[in-house]
Amino acid sequence: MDSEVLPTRTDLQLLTRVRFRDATGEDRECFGNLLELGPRLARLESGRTLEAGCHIVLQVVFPGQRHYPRSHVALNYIVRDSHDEANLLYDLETTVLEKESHERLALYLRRENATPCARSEAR
Amino acid sequence: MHRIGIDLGTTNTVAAVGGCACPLDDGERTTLPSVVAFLPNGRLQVGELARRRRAIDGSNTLFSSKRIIGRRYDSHEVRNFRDRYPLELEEAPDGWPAFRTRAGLISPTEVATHVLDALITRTGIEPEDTPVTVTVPASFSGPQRKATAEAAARAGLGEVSLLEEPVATAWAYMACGSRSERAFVYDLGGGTFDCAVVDCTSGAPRLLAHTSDLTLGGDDVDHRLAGWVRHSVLEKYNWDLASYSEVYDRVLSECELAKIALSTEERAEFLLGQVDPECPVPDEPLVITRQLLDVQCRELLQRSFSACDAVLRQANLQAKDIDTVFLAGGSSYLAVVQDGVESYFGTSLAMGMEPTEVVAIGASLARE
Repeated sequence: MDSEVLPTRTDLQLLTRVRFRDATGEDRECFGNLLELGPRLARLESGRTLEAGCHIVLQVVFPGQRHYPRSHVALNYIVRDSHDEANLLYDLETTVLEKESHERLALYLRRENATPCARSEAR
Repeated sequence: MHRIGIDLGTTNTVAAVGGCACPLDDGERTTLPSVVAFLPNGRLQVGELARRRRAIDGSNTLFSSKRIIGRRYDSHEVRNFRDRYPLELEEAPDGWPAFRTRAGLISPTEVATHVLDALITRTGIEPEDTPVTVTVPASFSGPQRKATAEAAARAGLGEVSLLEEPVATAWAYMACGSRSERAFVYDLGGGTFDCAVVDCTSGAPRLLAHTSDLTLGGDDVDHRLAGWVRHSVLEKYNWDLASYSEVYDRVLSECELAKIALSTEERAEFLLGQVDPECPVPDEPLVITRQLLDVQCRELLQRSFSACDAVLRQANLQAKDIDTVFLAGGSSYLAVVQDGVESYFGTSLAMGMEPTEVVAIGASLARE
């Protein structure tokens, strides 16, 4: 993906399912809000505490992609750092992106209005 | 000396000093959502950030708790709350209700305390040097008033005076130049509806008659819309969005945002995947139009007008005897509410005050 031409979307509130393995090796799951999303980096507000270095998989539904057979897109990230530990905001960096996920993320980032719902008007 | 007025609302809380609403520290808003979230790291969030966490950590994010402040666990109101809200309520040893959260049992009074605490910090008001008035619905009972005063005291507001919300509203409109003699206050907030006939002929507004419906407010509109969404999805896709309380809470939350958007837009939409990622059609947009909102509001409006009928009867008056209607409460932003009230009274509405700020402003102007 050409990160030069893809914008980073900010002011999002995209619900995502977060799957990760905690420090004890236990598989965990929670919900999160994607607040920013770019070609390589993302910012997540998590329902649970995450450790730096932890690998996570985000399952998201991008609006305007009904032509794909699967609704969900799986995005693989590593927790790079906490942006605001107190409020459980984390900075993420992509690891492996399969071809379709790659393509769909790019499509979403290029959309003129990436906000998926009434929220933008409501604020 | 200036007075601090605080409208401790079901959905939002506002402070005002000397007739002006106090901006929060973000410089943008004056309304602090009355929402408290208990995070896994032990931290507490109040306001907008907490409201956002409803979607991802529902059972630890408390809202609308004013609906049951000062009510016993075995009361009708608490039973009703348990049926309608996706929060875990338990009976505390003293017979009062408490929310089960990861931080332990939290009473509605404690929720109010946290909200007031955050309001003081984020507006920078200095309650130790200034007298404070906190508003309550006119029909709040003794225990409800006591619980509100207790929350204020715990938040460091010291000795506060309580003032009925319709009286505060009248103070605000009178200060802004209303020459009304006999006014009607129509206050449709997030969780409660207050209406009153107020005599404004002397220097201070005087309640002639009033009533409250403490189970009617903007929350009910959200529930109506959410019920419609649930029914539509069930019928079309055989998928029940109410199977999990967390999912249904997200539906409620999206419906609230759609309702707010519809006060200025003709339509609002959200993706089903935004409320339930497991839904078989997560990329299906759910459209809510203003027309649908109007239909869902109709019965609730009718309930509010039945209360208005009762108040007018109490005061031996008819709608035509009212010279001005003072609007208050966030739900008054809705066009369907404004049109309905105007047509019920056959008189124009007093405009020019923000319905979400007017109660706090009035409380800051009220004289003993």
